[in-house]
Amino acid sequence: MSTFIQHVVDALSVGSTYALLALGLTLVFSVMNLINFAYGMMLVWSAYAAYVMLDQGVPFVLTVPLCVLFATLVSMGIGRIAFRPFIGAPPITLLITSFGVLLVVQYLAILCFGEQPRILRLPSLFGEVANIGSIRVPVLELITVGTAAAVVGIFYLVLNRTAFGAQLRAASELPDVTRLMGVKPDRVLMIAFAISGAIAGVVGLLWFAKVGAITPRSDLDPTIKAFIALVLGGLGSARGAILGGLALGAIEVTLSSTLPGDALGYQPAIVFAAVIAILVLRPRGLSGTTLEPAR
Amino acid sequence: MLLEARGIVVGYGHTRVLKGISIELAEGQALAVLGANGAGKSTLMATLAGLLRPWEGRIVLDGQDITDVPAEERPALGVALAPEGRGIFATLSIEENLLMGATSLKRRFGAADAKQRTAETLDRVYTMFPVLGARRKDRGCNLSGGQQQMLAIGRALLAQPKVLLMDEPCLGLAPKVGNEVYAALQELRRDGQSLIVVEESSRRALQFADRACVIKVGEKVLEEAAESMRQDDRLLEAYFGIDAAAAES
Repeated sequence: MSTFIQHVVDALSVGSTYALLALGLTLVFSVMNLINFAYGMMLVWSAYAAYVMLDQGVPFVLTVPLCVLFATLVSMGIGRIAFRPFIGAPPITLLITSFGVLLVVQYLAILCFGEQPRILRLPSLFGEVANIGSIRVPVLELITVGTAAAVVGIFYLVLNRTAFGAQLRAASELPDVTRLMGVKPDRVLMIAFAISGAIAGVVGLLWFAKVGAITPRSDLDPTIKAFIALVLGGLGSARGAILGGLALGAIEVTLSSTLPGDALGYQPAIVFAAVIAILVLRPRGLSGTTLEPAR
Repeated sequence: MLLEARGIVVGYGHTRVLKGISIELAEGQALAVLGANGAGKSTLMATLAGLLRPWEGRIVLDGQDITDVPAEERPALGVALAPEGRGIFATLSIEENLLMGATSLKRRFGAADAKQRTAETLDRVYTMFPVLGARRKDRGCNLSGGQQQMLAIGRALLAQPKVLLMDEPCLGLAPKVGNEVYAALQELRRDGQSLIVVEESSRRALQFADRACVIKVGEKVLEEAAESMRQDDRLLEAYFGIDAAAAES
């Protein structure tokens, strides 16, 4: 029984990280129809910011909000400079732009930090294990699940209880009608990039706290996981992103705990096969309620 | 004149849809724009609302040239459009849909005044359409077609427009529901609201409006007082291309 609970906590921890990743991506997709391949680099930059601050002796409690603020501002900057001029452009233009942005921010990271891995020195608490009854749970997993729950809660409140949130939902549904209401499309886009960046700031810290080392090319794995979660849950839907992330986490942890040792190397391929099987059964993703992307 | 559009030429891609149309609307007046499907009525509305920029011609509101003002800035100047198909936000509640209409008030009147005006207009809309008040927390997509049209009108009113543009308000509605929509528009007229209503079906619009014009393939072919147009065979001819005298014989 305790092993089962252990796996559930593992799945929640992995899944909630993926859910946050997908949430950050889906937000920008829903208002701009943009598949942002540079999203993974936002995580990397957030982690580099934490690395620099911690290295300079900034207290961890200050580092976290500063990293989130940094990622928010970088995301808004990228949105303003690279994507705002392309509001309403065809998806292929946005796709190519996002590849361009990815290359620029990646080579900027190489220029600043080199290719060698940088170790994120976190407080010792992150490496400890908590004993809850007979179950031993890494503290990092508890922090991940708790943080993800808090971020999703804040995201829900912003989206459903504020005028910004209503404008965001409206713009993702009917962009032209939203303009007729007096809502400026670039303002909506900036709000989406700001929230997406803030989420990237949080999830970047969680991701690299788990991975340990940061390199300028560490963006690939989180980006792929985010896209799988996004498609699995239903493109363009916040609920789908959360569902997709949790489901992907559950699939991965189940496979890790049930596959024989010599088959573990095939785990990523089996995960893809499982995701494809789910999409065959539910082509619009698990949520089945995709919002119409902006045109 | 409250609103003047002069020599509007506009289209999509390389296709000209409107070929030099001019219309004008005096304060407190209701203008009906009639025409068959594809005549360019909705294109005219989209141009007046700022969604399309004219290739030629000018649009003047209350003495101010608004030709190059984008759609998102026109509500703050006093132009609101209830679009064809109603444009209800399905994921927003009825009240959220209505409040979206008040977005521009802060820019137009300042924060404090905007808050009071929003509350007052919201009350007015709920009085006018009690069903919206009773279901304010319900999602917009759960309303019937007629109720959604009421929501579209109410949302446009939240912008406190000088000119209210209505694009085919009765499209897809049962005749009885269409009459209810026009009863609501009539009430707005009594309150002095200036309106332009686009319709394919002429009967109700001509009973409602002060003036009417007919558009055919992007050109205005007839304009006069709505009452005289109701008696006039030329409407039939301009609208459907039917020779009324020949039709009678």
